[in-house]
Amino acid sequence: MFIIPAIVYFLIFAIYPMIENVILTFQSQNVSGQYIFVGLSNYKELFYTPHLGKIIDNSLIYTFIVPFIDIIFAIPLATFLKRLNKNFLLPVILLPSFIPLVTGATMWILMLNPLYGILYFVYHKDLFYTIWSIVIIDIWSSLPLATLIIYSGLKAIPKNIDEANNIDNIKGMRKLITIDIPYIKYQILAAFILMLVYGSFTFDPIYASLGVSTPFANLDLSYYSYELFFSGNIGFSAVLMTIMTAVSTVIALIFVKLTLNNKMHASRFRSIHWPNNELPKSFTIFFTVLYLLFFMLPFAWILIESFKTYNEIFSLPPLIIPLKITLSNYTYSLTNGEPYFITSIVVSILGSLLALFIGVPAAYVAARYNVGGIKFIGLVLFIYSIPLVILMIPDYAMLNYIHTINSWPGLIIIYPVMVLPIIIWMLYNFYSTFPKSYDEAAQVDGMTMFKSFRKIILPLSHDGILVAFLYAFIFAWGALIFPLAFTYSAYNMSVLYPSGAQTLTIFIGGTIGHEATQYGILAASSVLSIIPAIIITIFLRSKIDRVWRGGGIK
Amino acid sequence: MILSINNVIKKFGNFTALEINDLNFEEDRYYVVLGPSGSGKTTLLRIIAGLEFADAGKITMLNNDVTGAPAWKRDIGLVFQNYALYPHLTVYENIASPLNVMKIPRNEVIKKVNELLRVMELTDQAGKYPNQLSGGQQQRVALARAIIKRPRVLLLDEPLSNLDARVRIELRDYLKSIQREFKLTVIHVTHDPTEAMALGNNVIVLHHGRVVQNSSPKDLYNKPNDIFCARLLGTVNIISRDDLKFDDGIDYDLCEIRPEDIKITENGELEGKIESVQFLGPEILLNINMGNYHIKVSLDKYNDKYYENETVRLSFNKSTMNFYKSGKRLEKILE
Ligand SMILES: Nc1ncnc2c1ncn2[C@@H]1O[C@H](COP(=O)(O)OP(=O)(O)OP(=O)(O)O)[C@@H](O)[C@H]1O
Ligand SMILES: [Mg+2]
Repeated sequence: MFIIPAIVYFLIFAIYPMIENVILTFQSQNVSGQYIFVGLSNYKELFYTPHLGKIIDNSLIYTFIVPFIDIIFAIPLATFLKRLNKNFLLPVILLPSFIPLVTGATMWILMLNPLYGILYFVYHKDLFYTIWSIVIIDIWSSLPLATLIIYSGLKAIPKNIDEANNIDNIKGMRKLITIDIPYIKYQILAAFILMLVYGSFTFDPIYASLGVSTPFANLDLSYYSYELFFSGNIGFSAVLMTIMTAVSTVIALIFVKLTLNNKMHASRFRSIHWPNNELPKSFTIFFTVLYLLFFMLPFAWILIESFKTYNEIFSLPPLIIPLKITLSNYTYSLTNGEPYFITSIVVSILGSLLALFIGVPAAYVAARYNVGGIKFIGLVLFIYSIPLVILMIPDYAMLNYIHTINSWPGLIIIYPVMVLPIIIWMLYNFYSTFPKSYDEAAQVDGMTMFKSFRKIILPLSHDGILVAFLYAFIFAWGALIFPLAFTYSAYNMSVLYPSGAQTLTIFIGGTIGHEATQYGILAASSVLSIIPAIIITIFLRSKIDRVWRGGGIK
Repeated sequence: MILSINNVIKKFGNFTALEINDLNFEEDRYYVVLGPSGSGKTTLLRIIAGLEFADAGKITMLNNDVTGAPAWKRDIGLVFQNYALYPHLTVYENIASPLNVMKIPRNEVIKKVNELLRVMELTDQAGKYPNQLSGGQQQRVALARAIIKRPRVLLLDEPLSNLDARVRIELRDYLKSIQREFKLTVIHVTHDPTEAMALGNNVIVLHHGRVVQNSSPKDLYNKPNDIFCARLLGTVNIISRDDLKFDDGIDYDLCEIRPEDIKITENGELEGKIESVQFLGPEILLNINMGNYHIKVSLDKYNDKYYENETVRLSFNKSTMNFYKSGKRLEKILE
């Protein structure tokens, strides 16, 4: 009973759409808007789309280059973090992953502007004419997550193992390769797969950079199918989405399998004589500072930009320190952006609460009574690792059917698709380690399962639930695809007849490239959009690596 | 002397976990460190191992000062309470891992590991992973890994506490024979008195981070330094002077006698009533109400003719009694 709402929700808003997509691939809208069966003609378009080759190339670059580079850089960073053992470092490094991805992309676009950004001092070409700018943004925003997963694996190595290494005199590179990496092989693979999911359906940075990049330079399948959907070519869009569904299902199944069975195997690297010396501490610090610079520079630049006057922003060479500090960007952003801010706050909170409402009982019974078993958790992880863009067309039709397009209720109803899996997975891990004795005692005292859940379990697990809620909120706050697809105007500020539900992410992401782009105001809005992430990261700082230990998060 | 600890102090914050004035270990002997939970046993072991460093004092190993030396520079092996085997390595690889760091020729390594596998009766398990082994087998792998480098000192932290009773006794004999075979100095931490008596050439008793006794198990049993040590091993009767007075010019406040040193005889000088009779296998333990206090008396198992509520007379074997003043044992005894 506890688990049924979650399953029904997933079936309606995630599983059914995937099937519906396949049906749509055989259909086309005629002039009066009705769907008619057209056989394979949608598929034929695959061969007549001129840029498809380029788009597929780009998709492959995102899919494989990004996770590869992520892992290569995440392992050293995670070991440095463990070695330095400074608690404040982790939240700082995590920030790029926790802010809205659109904001992150915007920060990079401003920073890499060849005339008005920091790039001016280094290089005078526009990187956004190529795909590599998007790759950098992807890495910047996903590397922290990869690092976190690997770091929590390293932290979970029993202290005794480290001490046994100490006694056996195994250290440095040798310890890393022969002991630590095999020990956390599963986390590394999980991080790799997650990054694969992350990179393969890159969307937000492409959207944000639309105004500054050349056509098709960085387009991938994910974004292209969204464009097709928007221009009304539903059938062909569905073809691309079906292809992505197939690809992501394969990736997701690997991910689910990996996450659910965590086996150790021997390492083949043992016979090589790896250097058995520890890097000097100063090196570790030096490299960590380099990483920090990479992560923090965009933040610093956008903060500077947000306080500049219009003239200062477009001065050449760019000013590192503004001469006149102005708050006008912020006041302008708050007044013009007000409906977007309100919408983002309302739908993120209510959408996450709805997900909690559905997710907490399901996670509890799945963990405690093994209801739904491994299949249910597999379903959760599966939905967690599919790209949201593939659900767009059928979910649009459903929201349309209940007249909730372009409204708060529409977004609130659909947001759990993206945050419910996170909530269930985190709380599943939480409840799996929750002492059984509490609710057993309650039941011995004569409480029904429902009553003991409400009276005993809920009050005792409020901190776990709070952490799950904050995570959900972070991702809801940064959501782009759903608001883009299901809204078309800003909240009209009317209490009685509310309409419009465009979010802050659209406000920020849609600005660049317009004729009179106000970079200062954009910067101010971006800064405002990352404040919740900063607050939550600080709040979670001590809990972060424990929460993640169970697995990974998108 | 292979290892000596002088004036070592270890603090955690303001709390002094360990304070040891003078503690020496000889070659080829089995030392058991005994003490209640929180008495500093693990801390002592970790300081000897170099996993923790003392705040003050000096540790000398084979005449070298090793106070600040890292663990791997000390001539030690350590078996962790939960074994700390590398889960991704086979039994063979686990045992070989300390040698792989040293630049030892490959066939030498193989020879050494195989020999140890044979001694530890693990040859058939060599290709398995730790999670495929029983607790006792894991323990032997951990032991093998600890001694493959032929350390002079082997440190064991509650090595038997995770095992069931039968395996524990089996491995106990095994530990002793390994110690003899390799002429090791073993320092074995436990809170199990039976283990301490069975294994130790010496028993070192820790209490609140201090050494309160360092002697053979026999002396610890018969001549405990204080009341705390007296209570450590086996059952003991401790009787206050207010309840029972022996006037032989001894100024004491408590006296102590073991249950087996009391006899039930017709002409015993004390009288009491049997409150309970416990059959414990080799012995029978009577709990006798003496009015203000109780006395436990141990009889051998054939002596089963006593029943509850029966009144009996007791006689003490006086020369085995110990007397204590302010907790410390007095040298004086009754004739
Ligand atoms: N890392 C630490 N930080 C703070 N206090 C510690 C630390 N390690 C040990 N202690 C304290 O030092 C005291 C001695 O601990 P130790 O682990 O040596 O006891 P022990 O005799 O091994 O106990 P047990 O039989 O329970 O293992 C305890 O009071 C413990 O709380
Ligand atoms: Mg201990």
